[in-house]
Formats: sequence, structure tokens, C-alpha cells
Amino acid sequence: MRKNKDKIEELSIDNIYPHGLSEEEKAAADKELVAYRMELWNKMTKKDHLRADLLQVKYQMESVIKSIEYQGNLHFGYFLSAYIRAIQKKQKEFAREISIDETRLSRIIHNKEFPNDELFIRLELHSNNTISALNWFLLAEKGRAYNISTNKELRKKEKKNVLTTIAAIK
Amino acid sequence: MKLVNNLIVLINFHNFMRVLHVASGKYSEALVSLLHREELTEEVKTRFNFDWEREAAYRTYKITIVNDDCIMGLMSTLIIAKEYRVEIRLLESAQENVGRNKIYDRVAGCLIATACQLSFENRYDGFVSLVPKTELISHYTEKYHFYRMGGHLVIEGAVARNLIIEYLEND
Repeated sequence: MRKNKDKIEELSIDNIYPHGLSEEEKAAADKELVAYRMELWNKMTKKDHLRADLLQVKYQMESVIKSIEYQGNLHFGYFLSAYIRAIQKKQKEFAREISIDETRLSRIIHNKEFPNDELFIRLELHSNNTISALNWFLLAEKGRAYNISTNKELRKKEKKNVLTTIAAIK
Repeated sequence: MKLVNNLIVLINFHNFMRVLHVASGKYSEALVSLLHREELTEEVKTRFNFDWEREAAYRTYKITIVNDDCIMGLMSTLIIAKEYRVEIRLLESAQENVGRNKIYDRVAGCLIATACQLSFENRYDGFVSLVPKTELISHYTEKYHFYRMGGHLVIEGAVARNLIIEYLEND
């Protein structure tokens, strides 16, 4: 008996096992859960929904930062725009709150201008540390890394400024 | 190639997830990512007891040490949008990471916290559910602070966030 108990304790620490319920039993358990879940969802206040929106932006951002692939549409401006929507502000109002020119904010949102360190810090402060300056920085840098690695136009333009090159390494 | 190298530097820099190497007491950086079917090699199958081929239809995650392909644990999940929840179907740590003589600890915690993060990403407020074996309910409630809802165990909101902070952010 002791051996069995040890086995359960040992296994329980590290795994979640197949539930072993029949289809009917699982369906009944799910039905009960749905009722509870919807009750909980419907009780959420406006403040709760705001928090859910903000945390969605935060964790989606982190997921993009950690992913190996770069998805061009999920750039810094996309998440800045999502942040502004999550906190239910107009761009003009938000620009005023972080002391940035509205036109510049719009250019950053549309990926026409790179953000600077001051903006990362202001965003961290504005979110009351919910989204760190480091995460804003990493997101922007990921876009910058993609741009520097793929920008053919800039390579063509800069070629005339490099007067000589070293021999190709074979 | 240059781009990939750049991004790996960023990933390593930012990856706060840590598993504990039990013998040395030192933490190692770990990474959770989606499992591709071809990664379920015969070698992997010998280190896991569940039939993970059967989970192919579900979003399945693996946890590995950074810069090491060895899979330490697996978790299959189901996103149920109309119920605003993520269900953990199965979670298994590799045999060498189970029990008193395990090599790495925190494998299961990192995977459960990943499910919480997935829930927040989908705007489900961290709501995660699982159907436990009856004998194991107390373990999940004590260690991960799940609570009982009928035949399910659930976690949500601030408790789910705390799990993410504990397992995925270490600063």
C-alpha cells in the first residue's frame, strides 16, 4: 500500500494524466464547467475587461519577442496601437499623456519611424510597470534586426560609400 | 542566417524561464515551443510513457534547455474559444525528470504556466482547466493553486499571473 502511495505521489509531482472518463462523463464535467465559466465571465466588470485587454497585449508581445520567426505585421507600432486601444484612449489623448507629438506617435504606429529609449521608458511608466521598457525595446529591436538584415534598398544606396572591400573569404 | 543569429541572441537575452538542475542546485535557461510531429523520434518515445502521437491534432508544446534539443517535457492543450478557456489535455515530464531522482525540477510548472500565458494571450484572463485523476487533486491544488469546479480543476486571474511570474519570469 505504501508503495502504491509513493507511486501516486511520485507520479503526481510531474505529470497530468489522461483523465480516464468515459465520453459521457467528460461531456457532463464539461457542461458543469461551462455554466461556471460563463457565470464568471458575465460577472467581469469593466475594470476586469480592461485588465484582460492589457494583459493580452503584454503576453502577446512577450510571445512575439520570444518567437524565432519575425512576423512583419506584429511590429512595435502594432503593439503600441493595441496598447492604446486596450486602455481605451484616443491617440491624441495618449500622445498628450506621454508628452509626444501626435504626428510622431502616428509615424511610429505605422512603422515609419523607430522609437527611442525615452519612449520605451515613458511606456513603462505609463503602464505602471505592467509592460516593461525592456520588452518595448526588445520588440523594436526585433523589427530593426529584420530591417537591417533584409533592406536591399539601403544596401544599394550605401554601396557607393564603401570605396573598397576586403577580399572575399572562401 | 545573419537574421536568425541576431534573433537567437535576443531570445536568449530575454528568456527568463528556468528549470532547476537538482543535483547541482543550479538553474538552467529553458525554452517552451511548439512540438513538430517529426520531433517525436523513437528516442523521444522511449523517454515518455504517454502515446503523444495520439495528441497530434492538438497544440502540443515541448520544453527544452536553451541550445539543447533534448525534450524534457510535453504538454497538449485545447483552446476552447466559446468558453474562454484553455484546457490542458496531457502533461508529461520525461522519465528522467520524474520522481525523487529527477534530473530537472520545475518542468511541469513551466508548462502549466505556459498554458496560463496562452490563456492571457487569447484574452481568457488566465483561465485554464484540466480534468485530474481523483487521487491527484490535492497535489494540483496545493502546488499550483488550482481549485475544484465539478470534475475539473481550474486556475484564473491573479493566481494564473502569479504562476507565470513564479515559473516564467525569474527577476
